[in-house]
Amino acid sequence: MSGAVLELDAVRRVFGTGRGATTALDGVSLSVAAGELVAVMGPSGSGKSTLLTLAGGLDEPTSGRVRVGGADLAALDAEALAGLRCRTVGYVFQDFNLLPTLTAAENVAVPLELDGVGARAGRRQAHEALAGVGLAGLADRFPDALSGGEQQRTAIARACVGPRRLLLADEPTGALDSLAGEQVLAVLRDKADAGLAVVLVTHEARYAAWADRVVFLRDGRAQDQAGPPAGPETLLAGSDVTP
Amino acid sequence: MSAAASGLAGRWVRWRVALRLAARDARRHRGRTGLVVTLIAIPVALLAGGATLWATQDVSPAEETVQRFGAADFEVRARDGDVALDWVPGELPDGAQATPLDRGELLLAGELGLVGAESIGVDLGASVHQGRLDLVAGSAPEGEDEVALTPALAHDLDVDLGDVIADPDGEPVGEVVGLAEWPSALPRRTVFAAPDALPETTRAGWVVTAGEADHEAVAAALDPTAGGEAPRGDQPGADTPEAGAPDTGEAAAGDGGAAWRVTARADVVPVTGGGGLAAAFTVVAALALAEAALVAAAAFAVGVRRQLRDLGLLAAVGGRPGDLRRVVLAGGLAAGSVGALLGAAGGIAVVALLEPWLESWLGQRLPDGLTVPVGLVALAAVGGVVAALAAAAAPARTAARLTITEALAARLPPGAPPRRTATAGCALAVLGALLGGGAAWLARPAGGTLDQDPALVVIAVGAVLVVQAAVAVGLYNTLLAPAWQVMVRAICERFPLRTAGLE
Repeated sequence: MSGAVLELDAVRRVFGTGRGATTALDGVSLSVAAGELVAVMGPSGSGKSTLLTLAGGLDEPTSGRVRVGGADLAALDAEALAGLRCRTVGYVFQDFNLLPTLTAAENVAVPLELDGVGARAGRRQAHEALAGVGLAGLADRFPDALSGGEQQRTAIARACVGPRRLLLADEPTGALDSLAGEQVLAVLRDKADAGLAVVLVTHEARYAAWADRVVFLRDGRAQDQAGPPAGPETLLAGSDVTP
Repeated sequence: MSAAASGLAGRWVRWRVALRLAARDARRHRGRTGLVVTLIAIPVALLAGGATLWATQDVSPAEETVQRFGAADFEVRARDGDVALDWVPGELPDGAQATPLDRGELLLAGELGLVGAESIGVDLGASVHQGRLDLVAGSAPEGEDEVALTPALAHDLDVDLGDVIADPDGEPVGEVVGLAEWPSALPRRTVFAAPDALPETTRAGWVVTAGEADHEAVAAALDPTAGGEAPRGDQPGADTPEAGAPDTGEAAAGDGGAAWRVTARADVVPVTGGGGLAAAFTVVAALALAEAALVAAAAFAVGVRRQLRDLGLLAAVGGRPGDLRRVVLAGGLAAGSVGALLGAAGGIAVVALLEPWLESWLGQRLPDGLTVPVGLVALAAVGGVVAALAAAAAPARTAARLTITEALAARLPPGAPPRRTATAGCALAVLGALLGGGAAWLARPAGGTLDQDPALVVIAVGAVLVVQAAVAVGLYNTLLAPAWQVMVRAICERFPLRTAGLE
């Protein structure tokens, strides 16, 4: 897709060698444009998280190409990849999301400071990012003083702070109750509407219903579901979708 | 990379992040931090305390000369008790002044039995003795029935000012009117009386001040090698130094068989020494620091293992390998700095606490009191920080080599020990052996005096390097690393998928 923020082209990822080799992704191609929220669904072990780690430059594909903002990740060295994670790609994990010894604001400011942004500017941007996810008053709290939903929103603020273009969320609602999960999805939707390309890995159809498009993975292969949020219902019969 | 990220400012910002994370982690894991801080603090305290103790007890050359001569410029001592030195005042040029020193021995009756003491006939009030003989209580004895005692003798006799001391027959020697001490020899047991007041004393010598007289003329008048004059040089003399005379190693006049000797204040070379002891102490403390670094390295390795997810998260949000390395090194810097500061302060504090007892233990007044050798203490503290950084270096390298997915899954990579480590270790071992051997060769012809000191220092350096290399290379590369690799490979082959991804 022209102007795509994220492009995966026939990406394959095999773990292990010989008889113990396991193919996590098998020729997956995917394109995500700015302002688009794409949900990636699939059963456990289907390669969802692997897809996200490859998209974020946390891992390298066995074959195929991954481009972020037009840059081929295979051509970037460790320093450039780190810079990409500082400035372009934000990552939200299911858990272990925040550094426990830093306050919410300090957590959000980490990518900025790692990129050399000064303390004052970093703190200001961190507070703005936290305000953007509805946590303006909790900036000085440590993670253990935040609820699960607040922690995830803090992680989203960190993933969006600075000049980000791509937000990758790996089951961000997995450890949350329904209400907190909805709040997190609402924030992700807002970020996509604000122009970020968002990839959301989830196995719950009701969260996938927030997406513009759903990609279903099975055994490492992708089925692109372009279309309205009704898609997940056809994929996962019985799921409760509440967009 | 953004413009802000480049240059020193960006580097400092990243160090600040690392230091903040390390400091918070240190507070969170107080036990481990306390262990590292203690490991660093103890040898630093040893070094800082030892250096402070050394500097405190080390009397300066100027002060040592004062303790030997007081305000006098010359000391004239008979080599034998039978030698009369009554001619000295008459031979001196105008302006010079001689103060007699009479000396003998006494046996006194004390509460617990007889006590032997030397008796000195001297005018304690004379300014020429200040610094050499100090009146610390009461007044100087003037009459024939007045004496002053050194505090050590007064203690042994269990007498105080106003008491009368007596000989074994019960005959009174004199009333104690003052207490006086030898600053350079506090334990000396001495009875002081006015010159000629004690019948048992003989004229043992003089202390001479040149005053307005020409220094050279005074020296010439006292020169025992001049000869030719009736009262001088023709006295029977024994070539043995006077008992009790401080062995200062001074260049006494080249008087051959003369009956007296003259020591000029300007000619006295203060005694220096103890370099060997200092070198040995340095070796022990340095080895302690090295061993502390090795043990602390294990603590840092455990720290990295427990920090894996945090390090992985840091990498996932943009941390470079250098940033991960910095986080671990910052832990070493923080713990090392705290340990070094505590150690240095603790070492100095212990010496400060002991200071009131130091003079009695050393038997010498310490006119400068507690002396902190700032440079040496700072060196010890820097050594502590360097040791902590060295301890954190290997775990920091491990952190820098982490892959993000492995770190997030809290797994260490099954890396082989880098060849450079082994090479560097072997080079250190060879260097240490060469230094040790060379030092031994250097020390061989030395006669057991100061000549040995430089060699001892070299031996110390060599020994430290050899031990470091032997322990680090031997233990790590031959035992730990292969065992670790076997274990990790076994686990990895069993769980291939889990090893590489987050699935």
